[in-house]
Amino acid sequence: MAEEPLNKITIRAFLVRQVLIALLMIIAASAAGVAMNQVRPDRFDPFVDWRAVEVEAGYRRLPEGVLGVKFEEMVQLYRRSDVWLADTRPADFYSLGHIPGAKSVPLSEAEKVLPALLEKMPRAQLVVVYCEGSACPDSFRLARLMTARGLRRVAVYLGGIEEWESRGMPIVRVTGG
Amino acid sequence: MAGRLGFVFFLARITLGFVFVYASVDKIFNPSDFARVIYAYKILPAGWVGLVALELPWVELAIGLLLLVGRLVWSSALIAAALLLGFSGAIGYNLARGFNFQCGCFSTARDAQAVGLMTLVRDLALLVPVFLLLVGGLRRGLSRPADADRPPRS
Repeated sequence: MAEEPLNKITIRAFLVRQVLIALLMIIAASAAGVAMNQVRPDRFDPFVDWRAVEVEAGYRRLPEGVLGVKFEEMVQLYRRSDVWLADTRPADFYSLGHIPGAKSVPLSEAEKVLPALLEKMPRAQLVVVYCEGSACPDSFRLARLMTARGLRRVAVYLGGIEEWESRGMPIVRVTGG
Repeated sequence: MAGRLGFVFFLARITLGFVFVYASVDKIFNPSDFARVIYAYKILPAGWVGLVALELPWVELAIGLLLLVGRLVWSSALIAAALLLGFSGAIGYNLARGFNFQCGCFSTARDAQAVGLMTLVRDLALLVPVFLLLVGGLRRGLSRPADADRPPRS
C-alpha cells in the first residue's frame, strides 16, 4: 500500500468539498421540482397549509348520506345537548384528550358496541364523529357503519382533534385510573 | 481480490441508484398525493408539506441517476444516507407512537402498503450499500483526491 498518511486537513478538505457538492445538488434538484410544479396543470402553492387542503379534500370524499362539519359549525354543535359526539380513536388517545362531551367509540370496537348504543338512539339523532384529523379514515368508517344501521343524521367533523386543539379549543383529559 | 471488491461497489451503486430512481417516479407524477402521505406522517409542519413533496422526489431522482451513471457518487451517497436516516427516523417514530400510516416509499396510491417493521428494516438495510460507497469513496478520495467523484473500483 503506497497510501500517504492521511492528515486531518486532507480529510476536512475532502469532506467540505463533498458536502458542498451535495448541498448544490439538493438546491438544484429542489429548484427543478418547484419549477416543474409551475408548468403542471394540477400545480399547487408550495407554501399552502396542507391541513386546510386535506380538510377540503375530505368533504369531497364523504360517504354517501354522511354530512361534513366545518370548524365553525363544530364550535356551535359541541355545546348542544342534543348532539351525540363520538371519538373514533383508540381509547388511549381518547384519554389523552378529547372534545368535551364526546364518547369514546374506537373503530376497532364499533361492531361490538354499536348495537347496544343505537338501540336507545332515535333514528333522527344528530351524531357527529371525528378522529385524529383529516388524514385519518376512521371517522368515515364509523359514520358509514352508523348510517348502515339506520341513523339518518350522521356527520363527520373533518378537522378532527388536531384542528380542534390547534385552534385553542378546550379538550378534556381522562385522569387517574 | 480488487476485482471482486470493485464488483461489490458497482453492485452497491447500481442497486441504490435503481432504488432511488424507482422511488422518485410515482412521487414526481403525483406530488399532491405524495404531499398527502407526508402530511399523514404528522411530523412536518403543515406549511412545509407542499414544498417538501415537490422537492424531495427530484432529489431522489438526481442522486439515483448520478449513482447509476457513476458521477458525484460520494456526494450522492451522502445525501442517500441522510435521506434514509431521515425516513427511518420518521417511520420508527410513527411506529413507536402506534400510528397506522401509509409509507409513501415507492407509491403514493391510497391502497399502497401500510407501514410495518419490515419497512423500517428495508430502509436500514439500504444503508449498507450507502456505507460501502462512503467508506470506499473516502479511502479512494483521500489517496487520489481527483478521483473522489468517480465510483470506487478498488
